[in-house]
Amino acid sequence: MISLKQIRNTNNQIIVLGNHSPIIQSILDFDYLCGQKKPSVIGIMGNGRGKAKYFWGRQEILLTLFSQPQELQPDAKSNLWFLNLLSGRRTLTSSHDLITSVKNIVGGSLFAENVPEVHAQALSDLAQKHDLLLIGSASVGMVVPGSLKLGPIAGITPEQLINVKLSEPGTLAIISASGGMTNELINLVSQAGKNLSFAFSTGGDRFPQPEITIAFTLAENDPQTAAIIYYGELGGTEEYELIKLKQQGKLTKPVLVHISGTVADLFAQSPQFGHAKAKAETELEKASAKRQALKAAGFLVTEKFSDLLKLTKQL
Amino acid sequence: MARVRISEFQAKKILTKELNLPWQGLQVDSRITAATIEAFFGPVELVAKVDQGIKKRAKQGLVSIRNTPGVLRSFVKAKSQQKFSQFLIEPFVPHTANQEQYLSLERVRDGIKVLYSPHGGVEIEDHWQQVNSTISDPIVKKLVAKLKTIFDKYYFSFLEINPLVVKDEQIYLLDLAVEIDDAALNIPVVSNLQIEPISPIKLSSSEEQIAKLDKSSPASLKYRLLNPNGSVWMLLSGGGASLVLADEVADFGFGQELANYGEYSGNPTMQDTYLYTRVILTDLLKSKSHQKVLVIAGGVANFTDVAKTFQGVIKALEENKQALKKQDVLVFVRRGGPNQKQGLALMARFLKDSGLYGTVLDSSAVLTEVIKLAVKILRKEQ
Repeated sequence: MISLKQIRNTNNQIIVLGNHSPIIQSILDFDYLCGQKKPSVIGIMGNGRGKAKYFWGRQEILLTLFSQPQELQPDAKSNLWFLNLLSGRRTLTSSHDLITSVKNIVGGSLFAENVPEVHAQALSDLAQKHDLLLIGSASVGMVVPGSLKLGPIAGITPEQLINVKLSEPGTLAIISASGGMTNELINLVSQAGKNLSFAFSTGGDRFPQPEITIAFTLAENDPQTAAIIYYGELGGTEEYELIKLKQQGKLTKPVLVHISGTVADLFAQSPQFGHAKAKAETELEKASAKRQALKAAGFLVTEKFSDLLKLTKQL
Repeated sequence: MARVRISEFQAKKILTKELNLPWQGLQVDSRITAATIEAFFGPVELVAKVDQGIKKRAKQGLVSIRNTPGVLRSFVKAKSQQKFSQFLIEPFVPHTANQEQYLSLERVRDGIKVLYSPHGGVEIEDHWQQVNSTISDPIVKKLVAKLKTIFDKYYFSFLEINPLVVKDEQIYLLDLAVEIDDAALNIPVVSNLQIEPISPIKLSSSEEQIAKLDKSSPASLKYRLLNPNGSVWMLLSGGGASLVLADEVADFGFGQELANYGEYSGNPTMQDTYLYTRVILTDLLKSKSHQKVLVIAGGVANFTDVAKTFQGVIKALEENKQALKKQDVLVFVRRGGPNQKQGLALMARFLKDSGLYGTVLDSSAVLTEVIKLAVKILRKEQ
């Protein structure tokens, strides 16, 4: 699987599936603000052909629309990514078709909510088979300051990107189960006067990609990342795998954690919260149980969200 | 891809057909008569169960076993008065306790996890240590193989048979619970089954309205009423931020005052946020609490347009501003994201002009600061 070092040291190219212009424009704005020579987006795959108008700085440019993956001409020396903006039902088949017909794809991000669990299982197999860094579904994507913006992550207006200094790489990594909270944490890191090494949202679905241990191993192996901020929720038991990782000595960097969902204890039966996975069926899946276990294993765990800013400053 | 429960009646209909098992069942409500039951089943002993996705029914007295149509009719009537509305009636299968087995299938990341115990029944949790993945009974083994195919075909997420009875080589699914992936409800193989997910909790009319709105919109709109007479009313955005904000209310010791939980996300239209806000305001105005606050808050959005979504919120507030003012409701706001400057300025101006202003914070404030300020008002009141 690709490393963060490779993402920073090699040029990145993106194929976009689906035409969602504010998100595509935000990627071009990011590239431009980071002083890149050319847009990372090399083509948009949809039903149509021809060109679509976008801006490169203040200058109007045309991006090519493709209907067949074979028509694309990626640069063999670049890292080739895809950004899938299609609906939940089409996410699996469209990703599969692209991955099997275009060589050398290193990873991709899946934006749609409502990807069926059966499809998520197949996507997980696909990522494993092709050794991809797959992110999502229901993900806002990944951002590596100065190098790559793969999705709406960190915002879609130039003001948002400038505010959080995305052209200046730093040392804090963010891994989050929620798209909105990823951006909130990016904002918080900036408030703490620090910069990001990278950030991604695995999304709040039942079987998110990458698996939590892979996500943390990426950060652990990244020489530029000094510490990790993690946002998790009630539901699922992934956090216990994180504890195992630490106990095995495979996670040595400081990890600051916020697990939300203690409010669920007010309900007689845990309701379904905003994200698909956010429902505690067993005692272990409760936010309070996860917080306690992580704390006991030596993670830096917040009692309240308002503690995060102070603790981030100390990282 | 949230998991939703389907009725036992529907689950049995699907499984018995696919597995080619003999089964007769009747889905009924409070209007059922003994004569109808008798006509459908003939002179056999029967079972009636509340069929609304509730767990541990036997222990809660929600099952009537081995009775006549007349007795079942009275059972259904009595339970209907306790607000239950959907029941399943089926033939009683005579068996002994030691014939009761346990079987469950759950979708996990790398496949389907199977759990089995030769000792099932209502006390399963007391001997959970006997439950594992080893199955020696060849009939059950064969059943599991078939169930896995059905599980994938219909996008099931979870399936539990307890008890499972095998008698004279015949399989009986005595008690069956099935959860299905709601992301698959529109896929033809599933939608053809005409499945209606059931909720073990009876929804309030406002919750029902928002569930309908959620269904008709590509954005996500969720709403749960917790305490109709609560003081802290929430109009939140983002699946994650809404949880963090609701947690904070509880962490400040106002959990009992938390009136609702909900969230909108995925860039809803102005009409969506207008209708959503209107429902919440109706509930808020009905609350008997003496000091109410409305918290309109969310994280720094990635792609949800703050100005557009706030215009819908403001429109609903505008329609109710006299009533809100009369009840001294104060509004506390925190939001960031695309067009936040414009959206927050619109909101601040409206709240000041209408005398509802609590505070308006932008993304330079920590997300939960707004909760601190809102509960401060309530503290003063106490």
